[in-house]
Amino acid sequence: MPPRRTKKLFGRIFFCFGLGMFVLIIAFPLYWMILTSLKTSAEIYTRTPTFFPRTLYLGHYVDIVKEGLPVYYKNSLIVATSATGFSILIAILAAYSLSHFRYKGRQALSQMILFVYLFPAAVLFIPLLIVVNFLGLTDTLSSLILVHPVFGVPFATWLLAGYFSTIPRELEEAARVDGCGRIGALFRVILPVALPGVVTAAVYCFLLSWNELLYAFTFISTESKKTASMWLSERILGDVYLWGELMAGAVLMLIPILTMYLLGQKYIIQGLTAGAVKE
Amino acid sequence: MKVGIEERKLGVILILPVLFYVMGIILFPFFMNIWLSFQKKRIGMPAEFIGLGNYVYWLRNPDFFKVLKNTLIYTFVAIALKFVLGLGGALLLNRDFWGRNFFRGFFLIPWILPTVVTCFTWRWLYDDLVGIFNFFLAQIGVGPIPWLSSSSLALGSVIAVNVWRGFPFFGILLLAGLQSIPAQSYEAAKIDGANTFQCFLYVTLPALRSIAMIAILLSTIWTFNDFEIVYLLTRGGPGYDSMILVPFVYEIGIRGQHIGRAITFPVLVFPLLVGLILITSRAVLRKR
Repeated sequence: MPPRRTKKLFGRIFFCFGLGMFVLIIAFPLYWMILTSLKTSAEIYTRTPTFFPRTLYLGHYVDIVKEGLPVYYKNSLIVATSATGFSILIAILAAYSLSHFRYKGRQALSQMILFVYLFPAAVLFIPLLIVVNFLGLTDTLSSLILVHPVFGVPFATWLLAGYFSTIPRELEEAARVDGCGRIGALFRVILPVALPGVVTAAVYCFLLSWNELLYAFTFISTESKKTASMWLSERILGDVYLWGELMAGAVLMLIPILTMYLLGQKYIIQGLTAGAVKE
Repeated sequence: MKVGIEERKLGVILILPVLFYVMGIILFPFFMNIWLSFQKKRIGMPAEFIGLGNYVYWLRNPDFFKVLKNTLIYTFVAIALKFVLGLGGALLLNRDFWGRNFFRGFFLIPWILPTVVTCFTWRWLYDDLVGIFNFFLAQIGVGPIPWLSSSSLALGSVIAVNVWRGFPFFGILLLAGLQSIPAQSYEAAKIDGANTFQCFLYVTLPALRSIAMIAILLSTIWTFNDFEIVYLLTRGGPGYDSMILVPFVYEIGIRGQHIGRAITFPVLVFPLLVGLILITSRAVLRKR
């Protein structure tokens, strides 16, 4: 065999091996989680674990739902959708302003938003608790709706400003000649073109709110107002772990996120690299 | 002329909501944080000014240095591993092969998973008695290893989970960087007689420098301020052996109710953090 072909073959084997390793590293924990949620408790706690489902047991899902997951799930949905809607709305307006208007201090504002995006909200949770108490929002879902956009707003503004600025001014001006106002131009011309950016920003905001734990832990104490991630987390901080139920809960937490990701995947990867890398 | 003024007004009005929000929810609490660090304050009690009391308390407390050291180890080790794994993944995904788009989407999954889900799954994988890692080790006659409850292993085990969650982020950014390298660069290097490794060293790596810089800086800020992974896997234990900044502040401030004391800890690392943020934003702006 000529050396060139040997080299190529080695390259191929090396490549397949590498890809296989990555797939294994990523997929195994997920597979194990889903598999565990579908095993009976007896099968979960055997000394020799089974790697393929013997039966598909849905009892853990029934149990976790009976124990009240739907209540917390609903709370999470309320918080995440409200926080996302709020974030996207104000971010769209700000991004439009930063990308298509000229006024003094615009550059400085744009940099401040980037700075804030980089500022970790994790170090602010105690002063924010005091702010929330002061506003009379102690122990309410509203407190989370108010605070969750802290992660999403600067990111969404930054990402959307980048997207909007690639849309030529002439397009916007043409719309205005046709009788749209500036706001009309935003909704009829800019937003449809920048849809991938809007989808990415919305999914990202939703994801952050859906996952968020620290603020929920800090602000919420009433049982019926807990979010799903908080309620499930508290079950793992106790002493007895019902792994089947916990994994069933984890799978249920995952479903909305995975659905959104699969639907918007193309946009999201594009949007993420665009937001962080270039305009 | 009048149109110009109207336009300016509208521009400012549109940005006001974000501006107010950012001021109220980020900048105001930031300064409040600094002010509170000079107070002795517990939840539900009036504050009492004690000057530098909280600072003296921490600087004399060995826990402070332990948590700081853990946070730095957590950050640097995790970033290094995420970078290496992310680069490896990006190089693989940059090749042309069947199903590449599918694998690209698949690759990002750990990063989009809810952290709670990730933590549950890993805690189950790490379980002392029936966890799958210890089962595999038992097959080769080792163990069982107490991954999360041994003082020498706990920090490493939580770092592994952080790496698992975060390497796709590096991978996707670096992949975007790889795709922007023109094919001519490689052809020119090949003509000059460079082999694959030399191409990587002298063409790929230098071209990735600015994007790698951004990924590293962004990830440093986030990793440094991580809460969920440590809190849900070990709660900083055993003792404070795997404790890092944010879960520590939570334990002292919310569970221990020493608000003033807790808040002083982040204030002590603010200069570091703000420096880091300034460097990062300069890097991002230059790229843009």
